[in-house]
Amino acid sequence: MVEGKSFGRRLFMACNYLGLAIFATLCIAPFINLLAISFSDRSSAMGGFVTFWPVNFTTASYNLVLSTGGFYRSFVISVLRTALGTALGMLVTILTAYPLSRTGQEFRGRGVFTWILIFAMLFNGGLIPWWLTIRSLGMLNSIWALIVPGALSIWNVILLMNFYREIPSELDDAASIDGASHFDKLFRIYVPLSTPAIATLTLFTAVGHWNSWFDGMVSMTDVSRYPLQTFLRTIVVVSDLSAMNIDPSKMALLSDRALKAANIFLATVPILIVYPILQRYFVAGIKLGAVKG
Amino acid sequence: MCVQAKKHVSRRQILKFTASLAIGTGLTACMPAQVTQPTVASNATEVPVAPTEAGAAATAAVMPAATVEERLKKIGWLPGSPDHAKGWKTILPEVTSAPATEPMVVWANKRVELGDKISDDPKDSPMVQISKELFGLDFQTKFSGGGDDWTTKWTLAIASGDLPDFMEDFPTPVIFKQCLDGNLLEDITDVWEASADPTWMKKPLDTYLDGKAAYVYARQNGRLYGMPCGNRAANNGKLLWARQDWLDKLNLKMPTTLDEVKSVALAFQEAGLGQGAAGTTLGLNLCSSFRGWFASMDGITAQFGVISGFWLAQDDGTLAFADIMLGMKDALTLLRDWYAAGVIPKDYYTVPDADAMNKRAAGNLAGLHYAPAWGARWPVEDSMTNDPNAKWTWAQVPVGPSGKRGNLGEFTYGPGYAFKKGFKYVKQVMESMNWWVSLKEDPTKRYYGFENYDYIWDGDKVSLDSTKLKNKALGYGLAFSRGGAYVDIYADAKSYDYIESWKSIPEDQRDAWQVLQLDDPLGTQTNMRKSYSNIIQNDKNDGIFNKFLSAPTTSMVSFQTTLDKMRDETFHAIITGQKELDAFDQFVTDWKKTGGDQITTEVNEWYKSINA
Amino acid sequence: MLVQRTHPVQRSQSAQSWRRMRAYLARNWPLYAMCLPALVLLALFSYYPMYGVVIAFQSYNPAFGFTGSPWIGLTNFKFIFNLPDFLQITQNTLIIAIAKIVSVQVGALVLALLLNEVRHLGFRRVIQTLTYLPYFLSWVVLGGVLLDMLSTTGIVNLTLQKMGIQPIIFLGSNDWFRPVLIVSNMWQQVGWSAIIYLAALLSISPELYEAAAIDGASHLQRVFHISLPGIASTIILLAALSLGGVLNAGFEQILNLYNPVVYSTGDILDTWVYRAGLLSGQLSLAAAVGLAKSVVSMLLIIVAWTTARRYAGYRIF
Repeated sequence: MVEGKSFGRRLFMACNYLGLAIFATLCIAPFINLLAISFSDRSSAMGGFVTFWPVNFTTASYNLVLSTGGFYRSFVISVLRTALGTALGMLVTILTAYPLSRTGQEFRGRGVFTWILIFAMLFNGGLIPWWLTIRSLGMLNSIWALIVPGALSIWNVILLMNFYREIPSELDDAASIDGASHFDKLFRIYVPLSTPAIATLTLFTAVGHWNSWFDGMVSMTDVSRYPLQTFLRTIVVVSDLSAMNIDPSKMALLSDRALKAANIFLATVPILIVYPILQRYFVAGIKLGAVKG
Repeated sequence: MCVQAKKHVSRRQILKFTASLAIGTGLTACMPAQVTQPTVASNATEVPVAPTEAGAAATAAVMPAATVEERLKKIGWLPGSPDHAKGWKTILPEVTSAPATEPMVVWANKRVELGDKISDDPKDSPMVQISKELFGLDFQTKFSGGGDDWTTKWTLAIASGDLPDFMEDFPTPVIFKQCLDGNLLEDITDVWEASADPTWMKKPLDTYLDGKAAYVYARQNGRLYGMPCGNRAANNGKLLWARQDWLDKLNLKMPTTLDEVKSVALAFQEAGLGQGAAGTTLGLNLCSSFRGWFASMDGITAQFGVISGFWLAQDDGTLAFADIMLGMKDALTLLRDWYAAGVIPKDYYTVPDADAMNKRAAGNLAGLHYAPAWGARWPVEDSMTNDPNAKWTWAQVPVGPSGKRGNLGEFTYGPGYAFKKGFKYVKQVMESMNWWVSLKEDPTKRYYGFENYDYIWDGDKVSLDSTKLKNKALGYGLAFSRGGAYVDIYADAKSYDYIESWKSIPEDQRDAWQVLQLDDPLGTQTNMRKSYSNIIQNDKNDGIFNKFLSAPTTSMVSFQTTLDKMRDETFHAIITGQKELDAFDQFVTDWKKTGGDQITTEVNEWYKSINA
Repeated sequence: MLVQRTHPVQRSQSAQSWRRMRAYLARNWPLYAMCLPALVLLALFSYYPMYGVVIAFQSYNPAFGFTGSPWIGLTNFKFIFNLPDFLQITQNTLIIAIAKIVSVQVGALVLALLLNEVRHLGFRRVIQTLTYLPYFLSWVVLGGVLLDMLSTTGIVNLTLQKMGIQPIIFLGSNDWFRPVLIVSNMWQQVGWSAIIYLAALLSISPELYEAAAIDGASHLQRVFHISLPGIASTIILLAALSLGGVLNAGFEQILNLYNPVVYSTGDILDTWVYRAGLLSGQLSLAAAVGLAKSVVSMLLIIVAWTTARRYAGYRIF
């Protein structure tokens, strides 16, 4: 490779490396700040004396979070919903994307089906009727309420459908000649060849499940069944502070920044661990990421 | 039924259990396994000649019944530590109601904070267990939530028509109104008259502000739809808090007028006494709220006779909205002058109350703020940890040019606890509430909770170390509300006075609880009790109260969002000098045009109706 | 990529079409079976609950329900459109959303180009991993950090002060609020969006660069003549697709950062709906705004998809 090593070029490269390094540092500064706060003692955290290194190092906040049964319980629920929800979600996505990737001649009614999907993506009846439906299906307070209603992600279907279309038609034709059914084709040709796409979508779905809090809030009438993010949010966002009915005995907890930071950090850890490891899939399934982003 | 061999079953024990037998057998027959009480069951089966239910009831009528204390001891939920050398005895109110003859399930809702250490198991709830033993009530959770979840859950519950039997803590007046309009609440007027405890339920409500105020929400068209309860009195009434060590250093006196507040704030700032970097010391620590609980502006506007958002009585007998009154313009003029002079933080309007407290006051960036009595502990204790030299002092809110002191007077009673239309056991639940309230709101009964759950013995001392305590499960109803609901909103004040009175007991004669309460190395506990009683004393003279005490009117509901936005924008712009003072007059005109006149008419119609 | 699947032409009319139908179903019934789960889910959780839109035309009280609440026609819509602040809110929404779309796309493109210059693979991966981390933190967290950093006593103003510049009230100034929104949004989004561009850049054949280098093209020329044209379709695609989101100006971000003083530049449709619906309990008003927003979004998305198809050759469906 011919590389000009002029002074300008070298200066540019130096600036580039430095600039990128600074930018990356700025991006993660808040995480470090959060981490430092979570390991600082309560008063220092509250007084705002913590920047990027713990002040009066202590693990008290973590001890407290982990001794409050709620964290574990919610953590387990979140893990469970992520596992089940991702499995079901991906199954539905893989199945639905296939007919959509066929032509109108082969899949008659494709146009109607497409519009059914688009319309559902854009309009909704609002929270109350949705919730009443969940309720009449007997799903309230059960983990299925977190898994089933959101199992179909239309965006993911679109992305996967487009990936299916990229698969060379010769393969499909050859399989047809051999007498393969649609199910054979889907599971023997399309799914194996779409591994990067499916891996990427699996990640999107899994992270989506891990991070979602709203459905947990409305479909779990009992707080002891909240998934982690819902649980976390009620601790981190103390919106009812302004409601003016402050009980002095509450004050100590409400103002505990270090405790909140520890909660947030613990909930983020799984993502922080999983993401860098799976990063290589992003590049493989990038066409999808392109649209999702 | 589990038959656990007990070593001795004395005659006395057998006798006292017969009284509860009617409850016991009735309940155990119909209750899910995990909520039955093995103790009751096992003893019941060991009675040599097991009496029939009817027989048990007859026996209870003839024989002396077991005392409340004995019954609680039996189920393992006797409050207090009467047997400990340094312990104390909780005086338990008598139970007057007849024993229950059928299991009574009560679906209730519960507001929780998830950071709390809570057990899921109803066996860990003293309220649930005791109510079951004494009143035969079986409390279950319909829904629970915290934060803004709470409002959403209510809305959903109403929409599904599946409300709890016994409802706590209506999140907004709108929701209470929706329930009323939808005819979803039980009319409890008659049961209240017949069954509510005269001393502990009716009297505090009937005497507060001549009995006019407490029922305003709960009573609609002359009928009662809730058991009213409120937050503790004057919970957000303000005091001025200042750094005594800074005052001393600069040889200044605690401000008594607004002019002095200004000069002290400027002096603090100029001297740069704050703990942060150079130039970050703030004068008066102020947040963005016009009315609030910490570092809000109400302590200042009250000196001009107005509190934002309140409806105030006029000389002609009508109500007017404080935000459009001339006093508000005067208050804004003063704040504008302060802002220009640098008395209040340049970015005050971006600072939420919690940040003003946690970052600025606890971080020792400012030495002056308006805070309620609990300001003695929060953020003062953290401020003292961060700066060992920090010493805080307090005084009544400084007066303005008029010389008449004003303070945020809170009318704290809400709709209270309501019952679902058609609920069968209103009377029984109310009787159980009578018992709990009289236990918890009377300091002389000495109820401080249960060993191992609320406190733990550490040798001869009691400790409140939360890491060593067992987790309690939720309780329901009055006296168990997470937000601190009181029938007698002065109960805390009374309890503080009661604690102060222990100081006359010689130290070696104090029990462990008294020692714990009076042991106050930082002085903050004592300070809180004193400052609170100061606020309570002055509340009657200084308090400016909102005279509109009802669910919002129709126009209020429609226009609230827009009007609040208009107010917030204009007032902050005036204070920060982005708009001229004249903008206030324009605001008044706009306010009236944009629904304000309609609201005023509706409010006055209501006012006339209750004074008629 | 249309795959032609023609059917052999056959005999007499009705029998023929019946037989064809049977043959078609025998071969293609799995396609319908595969759609079934999706259709059931949509019917239950999307279409059936759509009756809820009626509350936009009612004065809704949950206690009376959807059938019992009084009907008031278009009153809610009239009320909203007549509110003095409605125009301003719509304007804010559009301005903020468009500025965000442009800034994130440009920022991501620049970042991708710069990363593409980095030859050290390990360094590149570390930078990438770090820059997209904020994407996974919620605005509750990021907002808290920003409030802290940008206050007059925060780290930014302390630095400015040391440089002799008067403190700036970033979150309380109508001049600064939108820039803060845009920059902080970039902070959260750029690293993630850059992954897409970077992948597109990496898929450009290295031979093209080498040929250009031999022809004596400078680095900058190579960027403009090879890199940018090589990813043009990706750029157009992303720009077109984000058009559908111009009514979403970032609810969570603004909710966590704004205050009354910056309502005039920062209050958007979603924050207004939040205050009306959740804080003041005006469910009908909130629903009316939501419905109007859905209709407009639908139109915009159709335009966006048509554009994407026409100019980037990307078929959404």
